[in-house]
Amino acid sequence: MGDKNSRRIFMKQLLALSAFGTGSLLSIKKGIKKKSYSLGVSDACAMDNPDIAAPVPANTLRIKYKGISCFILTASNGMKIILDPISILAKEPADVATVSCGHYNHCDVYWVDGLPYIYKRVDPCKIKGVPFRGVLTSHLELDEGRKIRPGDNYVICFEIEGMYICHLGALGHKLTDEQVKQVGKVDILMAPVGGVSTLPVADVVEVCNLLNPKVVIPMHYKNRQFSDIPGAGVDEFLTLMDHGGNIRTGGRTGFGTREFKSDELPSQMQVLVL
Amino acid sequence: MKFKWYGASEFLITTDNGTKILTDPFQNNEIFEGPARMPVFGNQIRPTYTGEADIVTISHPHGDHDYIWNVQGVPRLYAAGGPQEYNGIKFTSVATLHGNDTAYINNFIGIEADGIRIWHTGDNGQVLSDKQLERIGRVDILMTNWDDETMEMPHEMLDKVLRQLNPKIVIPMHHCYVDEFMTNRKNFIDHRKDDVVEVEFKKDKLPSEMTVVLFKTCNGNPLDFFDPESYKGSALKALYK
Repeated sequence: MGDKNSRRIFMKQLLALSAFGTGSLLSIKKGIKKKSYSLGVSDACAMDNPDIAAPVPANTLRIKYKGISCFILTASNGMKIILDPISILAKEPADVATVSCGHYNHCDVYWVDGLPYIYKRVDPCKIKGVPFRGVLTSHLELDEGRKIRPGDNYVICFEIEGMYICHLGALGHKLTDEQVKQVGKVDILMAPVGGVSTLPVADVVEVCNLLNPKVVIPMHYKNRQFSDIPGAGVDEFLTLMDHGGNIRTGGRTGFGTREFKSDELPSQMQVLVL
Repeated sequence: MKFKWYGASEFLITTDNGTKILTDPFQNNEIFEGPARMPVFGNQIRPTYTGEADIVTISHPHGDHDYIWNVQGVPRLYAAGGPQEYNGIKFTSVATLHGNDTAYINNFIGIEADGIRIWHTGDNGQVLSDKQLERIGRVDILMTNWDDETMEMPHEMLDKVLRQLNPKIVIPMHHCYVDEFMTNRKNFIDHRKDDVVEVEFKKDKLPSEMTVVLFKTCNGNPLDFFDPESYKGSALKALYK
């Protein structure tokens, strides 16, 4: 009887294993091997999986990552801001679209619907009650193959729901003291971490430390959806930023969407992969 | 309302109440070249409109039609989609096929201001269907692509489209050279020789018969964005001399 029982358990395990698939097992192994940073769980960052169909709660900012440098921000009053629109949007209505630089996957504004304001370049201005400003920086000089010339890039800063948001665009260098001063206080920072058509990953870490935001959201990196863009994945940045428990990745696919409240931001800098 | 042409499909329309509408801003390649969505532009650098605009319209997402970066200020954007109204000006759009590349989208952009109905064809590449014609309705001023050389809008097709829409004013745009199909029209006004770069249209002074009005670009560009030297096959290079 005992023999039969143990065989049954063995069969169960076998079934479970085959259901899981050897491929996925291998990928898990690979993942553990590749990711040297520790995945921390913390109290911060408001709600983990917001109901994206529901209206945004009071004093809350919903941030959705669409890939490359594109984010859709929704405030509790329904105001929608799209940062660096790309073609994957497929006609997304918005109140404001911001453009950090004149490159095709940062300014595909055709895909923004609903008579939006286009905010780009430096002049500070208030749009629908939200103060926007841009800090003039430079794009990386890179002339081989893709022929990207050095040009202007604008770090877009604005304040919404009591939080200071900063989107670095396709920044190509470390920020100077003057530029750091111009950017000012940052609560949520969106930083390019691909390291090829933007600044090197080690410099991104330095910029993050200079600006000292509460939350860093990496962007402009290679992932499954955007496998053909130049640059590395997010792992290198995460490894460099790891101080134990300050990194949240939400698994292989990321969180996609998160909600933030100004009084629920973490006390120390956290990296959040959307 | 006043019209200025910046080459390609880029027009600046100033309405009577002072609203500045910029259509299909061109990418000047100063900042970025490639991975060329439109390889024909090569290394060309040419000036585009760099002033302020109140509203920018975009017919389709190609580099020579959607480059909003050079526009100053904080413009509003009408990139096709449903009907919108801004400052008393009505905007609407009708989807069509893109010339030479029918897998791609294009939109007619309709602007109604000062009692004049303007339609901008973008990179249209089809004879219109009854349904499209119904949605377009009356056309006073038609800014139409005129690309026989690139076969984006062959003359036969253009002829059919013009008959279908029957506009009062036709403004050719997006063309490589001035051809006889244009100049041999019954009513043809040529602004190339005089120094007029800004042309004014008024509702009660529109001609009763279809008139082709050829603009001179206001920024000193050649007739259009194609470089005749690099553009092989153009038998009418002499026109540039």
